[in-house]
Amino acid sequence: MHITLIGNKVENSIASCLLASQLEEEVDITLINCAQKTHHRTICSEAFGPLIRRFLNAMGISESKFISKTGALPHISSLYVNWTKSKFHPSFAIPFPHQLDELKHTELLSEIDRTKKQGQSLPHPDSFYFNQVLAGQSREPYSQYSFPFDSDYGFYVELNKLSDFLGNYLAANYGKKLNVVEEQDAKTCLENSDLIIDTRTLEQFDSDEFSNTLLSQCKRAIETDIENCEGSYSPMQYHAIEHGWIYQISGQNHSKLGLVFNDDLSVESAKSLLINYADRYFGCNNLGVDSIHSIDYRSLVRKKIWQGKTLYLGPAMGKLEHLGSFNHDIFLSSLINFLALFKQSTDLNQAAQLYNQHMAETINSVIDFQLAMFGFANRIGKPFAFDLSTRKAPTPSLAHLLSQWQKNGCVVASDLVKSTLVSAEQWNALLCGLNVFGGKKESDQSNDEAVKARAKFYETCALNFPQIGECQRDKNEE
Amino acid sequence: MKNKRNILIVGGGTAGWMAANLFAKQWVKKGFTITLLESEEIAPIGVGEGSTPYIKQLFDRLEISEDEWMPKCNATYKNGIEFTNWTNKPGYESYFHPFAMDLDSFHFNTFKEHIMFRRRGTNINVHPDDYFVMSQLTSQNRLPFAGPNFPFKAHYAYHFDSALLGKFLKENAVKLGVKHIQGKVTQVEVHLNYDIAAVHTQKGQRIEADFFVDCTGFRALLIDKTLKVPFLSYQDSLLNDAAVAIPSEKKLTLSPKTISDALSNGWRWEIPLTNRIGNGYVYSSQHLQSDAAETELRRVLGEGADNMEARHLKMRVGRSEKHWEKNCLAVGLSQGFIEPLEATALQIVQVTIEQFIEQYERGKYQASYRDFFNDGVNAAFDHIRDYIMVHYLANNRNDSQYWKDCRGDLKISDSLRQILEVWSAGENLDFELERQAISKYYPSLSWHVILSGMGVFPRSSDQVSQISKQIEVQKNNIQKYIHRCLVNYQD
Repeated sequence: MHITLIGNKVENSIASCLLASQLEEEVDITLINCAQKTHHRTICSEAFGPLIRRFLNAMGISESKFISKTGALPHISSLYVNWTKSKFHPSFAIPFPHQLDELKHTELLSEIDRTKKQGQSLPHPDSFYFNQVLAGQSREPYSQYSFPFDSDYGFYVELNKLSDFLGNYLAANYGKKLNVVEEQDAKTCLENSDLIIDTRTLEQFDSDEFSNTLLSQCKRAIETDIENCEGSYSPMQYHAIEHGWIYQISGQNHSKLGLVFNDDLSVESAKSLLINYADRYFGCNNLGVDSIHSIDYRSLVRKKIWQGKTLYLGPAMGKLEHLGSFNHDIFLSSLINFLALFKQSTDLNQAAQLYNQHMAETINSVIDFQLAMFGFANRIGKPFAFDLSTRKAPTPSLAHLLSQWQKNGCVVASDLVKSTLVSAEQWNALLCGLNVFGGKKESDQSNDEAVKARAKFYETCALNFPQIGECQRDKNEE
Repeated sequence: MKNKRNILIVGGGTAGWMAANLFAKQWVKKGFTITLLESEEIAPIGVGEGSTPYIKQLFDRLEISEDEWMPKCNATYKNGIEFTNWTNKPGYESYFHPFAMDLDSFHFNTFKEHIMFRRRGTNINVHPDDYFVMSQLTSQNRLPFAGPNFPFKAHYAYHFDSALLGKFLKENAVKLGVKHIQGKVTQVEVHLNYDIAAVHTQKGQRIEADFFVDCTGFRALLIDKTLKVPFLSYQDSLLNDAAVAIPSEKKLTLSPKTISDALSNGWRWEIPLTNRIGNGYVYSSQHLQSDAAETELRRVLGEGADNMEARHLKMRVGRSEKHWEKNCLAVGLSQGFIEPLEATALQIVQVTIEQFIEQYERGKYQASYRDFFNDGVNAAFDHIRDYIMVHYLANNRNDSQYWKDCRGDLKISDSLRQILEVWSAGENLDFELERQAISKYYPSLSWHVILSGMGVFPRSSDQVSQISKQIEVQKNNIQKYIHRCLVNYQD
């Protein structure tokens, strides 16, 4: 069996690491790294969800080593600002689930029930989620030995550092197992392969092989890097604005700042807007127009990810809207699922069929989530295509999920497809955050006894978690 | 509550003084007169020295801190009850029934899943002691009080000297404005409508009241002797009707648990107090004479109890058909008694008083509120009886006729029969508890713990399956979790 990996260095490194460590000796792996064409890549997200930790675990790489070599920061929550008109919670978080949230789930359900019956709004939904408390206090999700509660979390990683780290790791651990071939010799190598894993950046989008998955009316984007203030840390943020949305992704030394916008805004106006925003919200008062570049913003996904003897992953598979930053997770998920099927399967055609079905479900689960976010955003003059508050859900799976929410007051894991990348807890955070089906009578409930008790409990628990950058994982991991 | 502002509590045991405190707290400021009449000649029985976590609400309600009452009552903390020798099934000779704590909720579903596999015959070793932080805390003699950064709630109860608690509650009630009169009731006077009008004492006093609370113990002077409310015996379900109590010297280490150890014809309690250990043997007088019971208990206790006096008690096991009849409320032994195996006596007293206050305030004297109250208290009695009964039904001892009779031809309620059928069929027990709406009496945790702790399982498969291995891994993870939690608790 001969497998060739061809594509971008980051995705190729991840894929070859996993394949080299997980596949038997009799599988030959060839690696062809192509020159990276970053200007062609759609928005270059640097946020990885919890699957990155599954990847590290499979590779036997400790988190402490990973962090020290790549400068990765923990990713535990995303903040959504101004997606609702709510006076009392204009922003809300969608954190990854934390085990402690289970203790407060009953309270959440009774609050939702009360909301439905009495027509009042919920207390601020962030108060139910422990990871949002940690994120708000810039704390690690990795607790001391004496606090045995697990959290889902991922990492913010600078891709070039990740790529270098994995390159070195591959050379040190699997150098003998991998054949590395130059790009100019790719053709012969690909012809002789039984299976090709292609992660090359797309050159041609407009073919029948792709589905357009653009959900909003915003088709253009600009992006820049800003330097972090010393010691500052903030979770990933998405700000809804009049003509689109702004995103910010933290890195160790810099943050990525971008604006996705509709045709009502010229590129120049968009740049001015971003400069203004960087100053007002992200503490960056020296952002120049020249440092901001335009991006070809698309959302397209290949209809069949595994076609014949080629598996298209990462950039070669396509991209979804950047909202929620799921693209790297889809890549990791597609890789992990491929390995599981490949190892079990004797018939590659059958495996491909199953795989395409499975991945379609995974991708659709993310699209549903983004649809709900755009669709329930309660803004005046919204730039988004859908308004779910007055329309039916556009997909059967989303319709099912919303009906379960309405009936039971929450989404549970069994309401979701198995292969989803969005947890039930994240769905609940989204639907509560956007006050979907909630009461219209808003009130400030921050002084409510239950809210105060919850806050006190979470704040006490948070003391068991070190500040970001001060975590001694080695000690705990041992 | 106009014209019903004068309440007379007859009897001054723990139940009487609990009622006096709670009524006074609720009603004295509203202009009620609360009087307690007790006889110096009649010593209170003192129904046990153990409690359930529910009692904490009593002290909270009365705004009495632990520092204030515990030292005065030689009180200690209680994390649960350890049951030993109720079966001789290998691996199930003992189990601990823990009180609930937040930390134990995280793996409770896994525990139930494992139990479910075992109930369906999977070859796995499941014992409740392996799944609960509270159980392992207790095995290490630790209390459920963690450091300041570990804010997880735990339910716990107390052991105390009930005579001293009665004294403490008496002093507190007087401070709250309760009028205390001494005298032995010789006659009860009733109106033409059968409401109680007054009681007469040996000293010739005639004490009138609008409402009477019968705390006269097993004598049930008002509810039974005067108002003739029928008593429903549990004798056809629970065989024990006698007890002998002997204190012993305290041990060096105080253990935060009650021990319930099965003996030849009943069971023995061991309750640690700060100054002594309370011991007793609850048995069936049909199967064992009182002197034989005392001898057996002394043999188990050894030298520590040599010079201690034994106190023999008879128990009237069952309940009154109604607890609130006419202008009379029965509280404590007068309303009924279930043997003290799960230390529920004071909880029933407390529930009765609290429910009475609530229903009285809502509906005054309306019959519908009184009926609702009576139905609620009756249900509490019957469902607690059912749970207690499981201890006996699930025994497998053959060393005496008593234990054989305990799983013999006893009357089992439909509710309990359905629970046991669901358990045996390997079906979802939570659905059944929910269907019967009885989790408020004993929660899912208690049912799963007792039935699994006593090894009520079918024969398991001889094969070790993949599931068995997965369960072992999960059990190891739970052990690690418990170990990490325990770090937060001091000895």
